[in-house]
Amino acid sequence: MKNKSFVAMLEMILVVIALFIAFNVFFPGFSYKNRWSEALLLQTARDVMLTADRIDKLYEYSFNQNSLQNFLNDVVSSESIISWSERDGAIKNQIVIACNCTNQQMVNLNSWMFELKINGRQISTVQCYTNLEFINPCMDSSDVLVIWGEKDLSAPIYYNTLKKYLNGNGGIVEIADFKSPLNQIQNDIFDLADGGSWASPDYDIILKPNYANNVTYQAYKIYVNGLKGNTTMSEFCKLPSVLNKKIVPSDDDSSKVLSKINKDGGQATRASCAIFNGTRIAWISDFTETTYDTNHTKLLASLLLATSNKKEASSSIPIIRTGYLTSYINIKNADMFEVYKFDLGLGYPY
Amino acid sequence: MKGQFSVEQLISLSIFIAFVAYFFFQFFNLRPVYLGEVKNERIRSEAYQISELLINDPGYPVNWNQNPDSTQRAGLSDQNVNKTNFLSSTKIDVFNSSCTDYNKVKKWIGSDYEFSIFLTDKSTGVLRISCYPSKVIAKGINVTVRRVVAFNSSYGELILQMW
Repeated sequence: MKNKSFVAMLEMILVVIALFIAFNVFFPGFSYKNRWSEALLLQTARDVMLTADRIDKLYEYSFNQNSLQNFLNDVVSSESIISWSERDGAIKNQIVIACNCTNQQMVNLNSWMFELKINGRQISTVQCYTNLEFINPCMDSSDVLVIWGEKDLSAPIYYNTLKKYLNGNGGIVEIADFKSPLNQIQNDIFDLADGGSWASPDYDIILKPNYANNVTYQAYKIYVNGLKGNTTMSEFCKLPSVLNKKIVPSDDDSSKVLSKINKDGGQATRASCAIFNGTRIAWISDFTETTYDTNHTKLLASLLLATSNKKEASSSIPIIRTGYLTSYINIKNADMFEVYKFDLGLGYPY
Repeated sequence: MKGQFSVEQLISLSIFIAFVAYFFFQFFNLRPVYLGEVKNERIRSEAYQISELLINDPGYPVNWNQNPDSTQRAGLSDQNVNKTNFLSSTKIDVFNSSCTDYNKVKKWIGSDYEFSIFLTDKSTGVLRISCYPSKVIAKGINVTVRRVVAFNSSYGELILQMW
């Protein structure tokens, strides 16, 4: 009898354990996560963006991290909220130029890019030398690569290096006249072709793009509206030692040409002085081979600014538990029409 | 021995009864917790809704600030500018002066809950709106919604509390 009862008790305990497990499976403990704090965080970021725009300070806050931080300290009460910001589509305050050029050329570049002002903000540049087998990262990374002078880029390593560079966000500007026949890389990367011979022009002109989606649109805006360059300038496409060499886009697409000579010279296609291949690759004839003035240097500056990397973060995104990025498309039209995306991130670190 | 319980059987029975009691306790406990959370959600969403109405709605009639007695719904948005998060300075002042009669403002807000509204001009530190009931009775939940707003060329923080 005693053994029988013991077995019954054991059975009961086993049944209770089984029921307890089943109960917890079918009726798990009630927990309710409302995510209210996350919703408020997202709302706060939107409010901050809208308010900054309403008081006409969004442009200042987009480019001045200290002003933005002071504003956030004022309006975001919680000290446990951390912030960061990003910008995409606007010319950076500081542009890092990796230059494959001589010391004198770097000095010239530095003087031409000195104290540039676009839409009321100062644009500074930093130059550093690079070879073309491996692009010098300069500081963290460069925003635009300058190849100055006619270089033999036929070796595959150059093609691979330039392609790799373009896979980042930086642009490439080539400043060169070509005494030798154009090699394949000039066609593949820069979309340049030899267009035959041409007659002597009087001067060069800047072409106004027909549409805002033309590849030359950004550089045109920067040159004409931002830097106040003239739409005509003294001729610089004709290299004295190779008088009749004419460079054109390989497909003769005139929407890729920012500057060209003013005369046909009896042929349908005019010689080009500045050609774009996409929005991040440009070639310009080497104006230092002839007499040049500020229009030529401004044209080069506009190419560098237009092709440069336009993505910038205030700092690296901090480690956060939860965070939201709020985007706002802002427009500035002081010197030139500038459209960019400003992202404000707010998050909880724990 | 027939008709008698052994000690082991008694223990088994009590374990079983304890489990059944636990089961029912847990089961019937779920409902009030769930209802409490639903209630909290309701007050949170109502607080957010009212903050949104105050900031982005001009009220009804839209120029209620010119004749506060005719106000049917309070809203601080500037109908002339008609931009989100941009408040009318005049409406802010009229709303604040109307807060001497909390019940009247409560009717404009149209909520069953009690609330307090504060608006601070962050560039000067001046409290532009201070609106709360004369007697504050604490309840289980107190929801706070903070909104950043602009008015004239200044900016501020609107704090709405609801309970």
